[in-house]
Amino acid sequence: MADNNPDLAEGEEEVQPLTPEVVEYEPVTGMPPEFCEYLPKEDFLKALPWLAENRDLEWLQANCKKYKGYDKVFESAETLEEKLKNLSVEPPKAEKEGKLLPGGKKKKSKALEILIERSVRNKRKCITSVTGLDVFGIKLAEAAKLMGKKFASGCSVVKHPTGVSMIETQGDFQYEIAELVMKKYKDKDIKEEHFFSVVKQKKSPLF
Amino acid sequence: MFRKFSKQESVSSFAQVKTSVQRGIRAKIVEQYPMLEEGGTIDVLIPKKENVVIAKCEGKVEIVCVNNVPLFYKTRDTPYFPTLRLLHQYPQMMPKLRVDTGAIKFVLSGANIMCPGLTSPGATIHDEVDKETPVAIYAENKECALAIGFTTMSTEEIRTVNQGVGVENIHCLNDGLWKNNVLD
Repeated sequence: MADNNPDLAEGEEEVQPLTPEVVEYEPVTGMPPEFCEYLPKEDFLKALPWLAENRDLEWLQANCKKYKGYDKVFESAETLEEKLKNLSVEPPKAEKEGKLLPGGKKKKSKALEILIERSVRNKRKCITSVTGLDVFGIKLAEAAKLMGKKFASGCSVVKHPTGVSMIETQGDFQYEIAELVMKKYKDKDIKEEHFFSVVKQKKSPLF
Repeated sequence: MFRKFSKQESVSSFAQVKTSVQRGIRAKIVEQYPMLEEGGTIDVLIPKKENVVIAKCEGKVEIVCVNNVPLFYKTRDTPYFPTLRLLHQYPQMMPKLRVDTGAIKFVLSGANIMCPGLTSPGATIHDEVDKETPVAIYAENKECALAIGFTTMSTEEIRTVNQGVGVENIHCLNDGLWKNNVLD
């Protein structure tokens, strides 16, 4: 990479690769700041604190005039500050909606629950399927291997067409799985009330 | 094209390509965007030693990724387009068209660009292009490109006809591909 020094001067571009231009993106929404005003209003409000901090008032006046009533906000530094204060009261709601993944992509917020379902295969044999471990940040493949070892049975990650992936274990281990998960993933803060058993598509607390 | 793009649902397969295929892709890209060849910018984008991965997606879309970062994409019957993030880095690589402020909202939601949006007083046609050419769409008073389009008429026609779709919107800010800036 020695000959691809990114800090090249523009004038040298005939012999050297072009310098990539760095465009700054607003970190929360991942948009270039100029286009933040075209986001849906809630996203725009999320972007606002960053914009206020990194752009001056004139820029805001010129670039964020799409939403009605906001021209007043950008009239002076005081009004802007006031607005920001009001904003910072609201965020708890926003936080619940899901953490941001790198790249400004929003993680879908899912209920923090682990569903354990036992389905009977042929009379005496059954399958225990566990859904929702991924919400806690547990790697399914790893967990499946762990369970397979612990219960000495077939255990695999199954992806459903709906996009939900679950772990399926051969045998009936409803309570054992719950215990194992709580024991092995202590750091994920999983408690008994997170577990639900599903019978005929009805949810009831496992413990 | 990428409005509803998502990593899990849209990408059907990832495959590393053979070096010979990789060379072919490079050659095509360079042919389309000669600017990238000057000074070997293409070598920075797609280093010869780096593995190129092609993500095949629904709708016959192929995305060329290097280091899991999507750089170029094409459909079966269009040439290669750069992604917007790449275009932001090398804005000189494509011909530019500029739309007026009124159009921005619609372009950002993925609408095709109508001729009046390119001919009105706020808009500018920076470069003359033929039909079926990839173009970068800019907006009045804004610096960054906001979309990448594929012209359905030449610029001359856009001026004279001044009606209907002038540029097809392929990829715009905040669409699925923009949000998935890492594919793996």
